[in-house]
Amino acid sequence: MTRTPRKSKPGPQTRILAVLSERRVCLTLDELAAELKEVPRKKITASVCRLVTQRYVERADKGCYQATDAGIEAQRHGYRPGPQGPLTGNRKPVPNTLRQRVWKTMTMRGRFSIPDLMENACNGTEKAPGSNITHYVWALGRAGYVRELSSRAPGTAVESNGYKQFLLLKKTGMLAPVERRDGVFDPNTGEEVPFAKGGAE
Amino acid sequence: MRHKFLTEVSNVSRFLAGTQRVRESGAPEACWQLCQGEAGFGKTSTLEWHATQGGHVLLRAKSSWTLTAMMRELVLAVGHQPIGKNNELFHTVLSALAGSSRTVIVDEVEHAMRDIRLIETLRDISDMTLTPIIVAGHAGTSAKLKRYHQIFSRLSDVTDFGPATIGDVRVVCDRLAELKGGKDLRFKDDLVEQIYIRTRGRMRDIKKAVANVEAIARRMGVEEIGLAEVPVAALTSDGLPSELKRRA
Repeated sequence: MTRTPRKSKPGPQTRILAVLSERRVCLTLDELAAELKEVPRKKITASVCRLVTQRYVERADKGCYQATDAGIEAQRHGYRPGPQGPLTGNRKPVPNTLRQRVWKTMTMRGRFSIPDLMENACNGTEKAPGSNITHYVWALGRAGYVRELSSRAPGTAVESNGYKQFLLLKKTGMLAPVERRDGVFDPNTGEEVPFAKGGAE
Repeated sequence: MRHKFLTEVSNVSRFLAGTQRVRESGAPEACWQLCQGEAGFGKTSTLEWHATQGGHVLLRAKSSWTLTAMMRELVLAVGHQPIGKNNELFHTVLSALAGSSRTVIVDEVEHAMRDIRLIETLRDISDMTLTPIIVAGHAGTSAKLKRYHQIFSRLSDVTDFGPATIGDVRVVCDRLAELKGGKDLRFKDDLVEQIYIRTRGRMRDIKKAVANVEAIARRMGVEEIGLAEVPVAALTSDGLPSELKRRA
């Protein structure tokens, strides 16, 4: 993968690939360590492993590594370590977080109030679930996932105005949308939904 | 009033003991659990709580359910897009549930019993992936299920949801009622007994009565409250208009 060369100091991965591309022979870890004196041996081992995974370096013999053609090409165009492409492995299991449980409750019930969500989604380990859930519902409201209903559920406190009730408008999947600074990222659709201007609907 | 789900009440603790029995049942395919009881005893709220906390799959059977409708809902609930025919949907469900330790919960199962193919499909899924199945319905669902011996023989537990006991009322009062600043409100025994009698053990009504008593206690500024301080009307759940309740 070719990218623009960066300006900051190159890391061990970049430096190892530079050495191997320049020499074009296989070098042992000891020889690399001697070449890159200020890099700890442990980092050299880990970096070579990563380069082998990326197919920029191959093991020519036992304990001896050399740059591949792809590695030499990458070095010429300005190699940068980091992710080399999209992750295509198995998806992570659904996390058991408060917001994930809140989202599941919303999708099951459709119409809900904040106390409903607290009763169903909390497991007693949360520090301030009320404010967390309120904030999340507010964010989903601004992104158009949730709409506040005009009628309220009866409250319990003295002279309470009752609890606001909400309706879930978009059931996009089982993964909870993630609140971001300017909107909500929906992992079910892969879309970033921006907040509506002027607050929740 | 605190908003908490109480696992200590008798119906929920019986349900949880039942799920444990299903997990430990000798025959691996006998992994069905039935929850039955009249409306208002907390079946649906217990199942929703169980599904949320455990990440299980919960479906509510509809009167309009066909096999395709059920399979599409099931595929969506396990996190996939319902694409293809029933056969493909079935294999999507199998691959999602196999080895996932999730339970499939079907509420209002009477609707699914009109078409035996729906129940048989659930049996196929359960047999092939050893996924526990919890079905819930009104009182008398077990009698209806007896018609299908192949299903009934797979039930490892039948949980009956009944009226709350006086102990349950005490738990609700102690755990949910709170005063300003989060302090506990103490209920005297005579008041707990009267709530139990007046609400006929219906959890929804018990919570309403506790909320009313809590409001009275807050207004009076007391930390302990008994029957003498509470008008009986605050405990009623007989559907009378509020003017009549005040006179009662």
